[in-house]
Amino acid sequence: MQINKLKETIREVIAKVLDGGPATAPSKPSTSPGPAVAPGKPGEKPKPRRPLGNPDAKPKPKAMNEEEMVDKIVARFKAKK
Amino acid sequence: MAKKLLEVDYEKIFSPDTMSALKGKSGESLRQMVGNKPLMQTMLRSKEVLDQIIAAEEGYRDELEMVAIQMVTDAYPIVDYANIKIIASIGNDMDIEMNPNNEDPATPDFGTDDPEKMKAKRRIINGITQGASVRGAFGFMLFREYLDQINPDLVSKYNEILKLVFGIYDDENAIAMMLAAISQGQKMQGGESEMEYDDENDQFIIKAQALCYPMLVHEIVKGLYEIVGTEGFGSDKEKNQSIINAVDKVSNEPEDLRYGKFIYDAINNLYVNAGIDDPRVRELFFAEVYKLEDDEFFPFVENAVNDALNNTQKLWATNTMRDIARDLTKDDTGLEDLD
Repeated sequence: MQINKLKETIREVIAKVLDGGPATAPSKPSTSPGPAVAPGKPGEKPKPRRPLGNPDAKPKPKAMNEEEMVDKIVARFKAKK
Repeated sequence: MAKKLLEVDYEKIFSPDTMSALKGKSGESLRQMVGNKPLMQTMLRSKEVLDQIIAAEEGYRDELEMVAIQMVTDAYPIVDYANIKIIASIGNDMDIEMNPNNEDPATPDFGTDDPEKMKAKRRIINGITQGASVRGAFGFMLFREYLDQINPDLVSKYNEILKLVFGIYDDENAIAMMLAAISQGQKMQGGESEMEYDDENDQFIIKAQALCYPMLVHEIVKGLYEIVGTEGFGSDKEKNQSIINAVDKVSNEPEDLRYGKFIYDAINNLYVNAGIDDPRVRELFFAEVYKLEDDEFFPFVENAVNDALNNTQKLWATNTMRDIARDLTKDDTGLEDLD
């Protein structure tokens, strides 16, 4: 897909989702409704020919700067000094 | 009881020449992303910019969460094709357990599988996952006009924070100094993500949260590539968990971030240069690479990084992408006789 076409498509979808009009900065809500969720469409379409993902593997969450990483790299840093 | 599996390092996976190439790309990336700024100046500037972004996003977080999901869904149409659900949050209100207690009950019998090779493969895939998410984070530029209306300075600040945060990971000493500072109380956690499989709805779910919009995009893309990465596993859950426990460690993430983006680039370039106009092929091609047997997977990745695929590897890549594209067209049109 051409990049301009993609941008146009995204803009249209966002405008539709947010307020049905052109992309504008939204108003400040009074309370947070919680995380945004895009539900997918279970049961709406047949199985694809190329299913993606292996349900038999459960990777650990990934984040930066966890304690374990800090300890290991600080130790390496100190060893180099 | 068999001994606990140990970690595997990139230096043990790749040849010295390939490591030299990866380190060269990393040095170049450091200069592009951070320039010649002293580390402390980079860190202080990161905190300053992040605080400004958080303040500017105040009141718009719910909309930006939706925008992040929509951006990833549109930029990565594989999300719709594979029917992936995304849950995303700016802030820290989601319950993502960073050290889940899913230790393997017993070290499994690997049989004819070589656990060292399985760990090495997982490490490469983790690197690609991090690399894809670094590259994908810059997709926020697609929403420039929308973001400009919230605050005309946001886009430049997003660009700056991503360059500063990810640029730091190209310098091992900088990583060490940054983390030493963090260990003394200057905590800067950008975000986190995980994937899970919903048995009831037969659906993968990405859960992502981050402090600000561009980091949320980064985390969602990471979750997507985490799902792609599961294609590198077989059907034995115990073996899979054992490998995950040995390799999926936060202490591995700095080098995964450092080198993974260049491994991702190398394989992504094969898709880009194939001239196939369907971005779903990209993630499905990565999945096919991950499914290669060890004796094909490692040389393929190493040769791709060195831009030195042999003719057999090139032909396999081209034919595989064409086959994927043909299947996608069949799915899109419902026509079976397209061959």
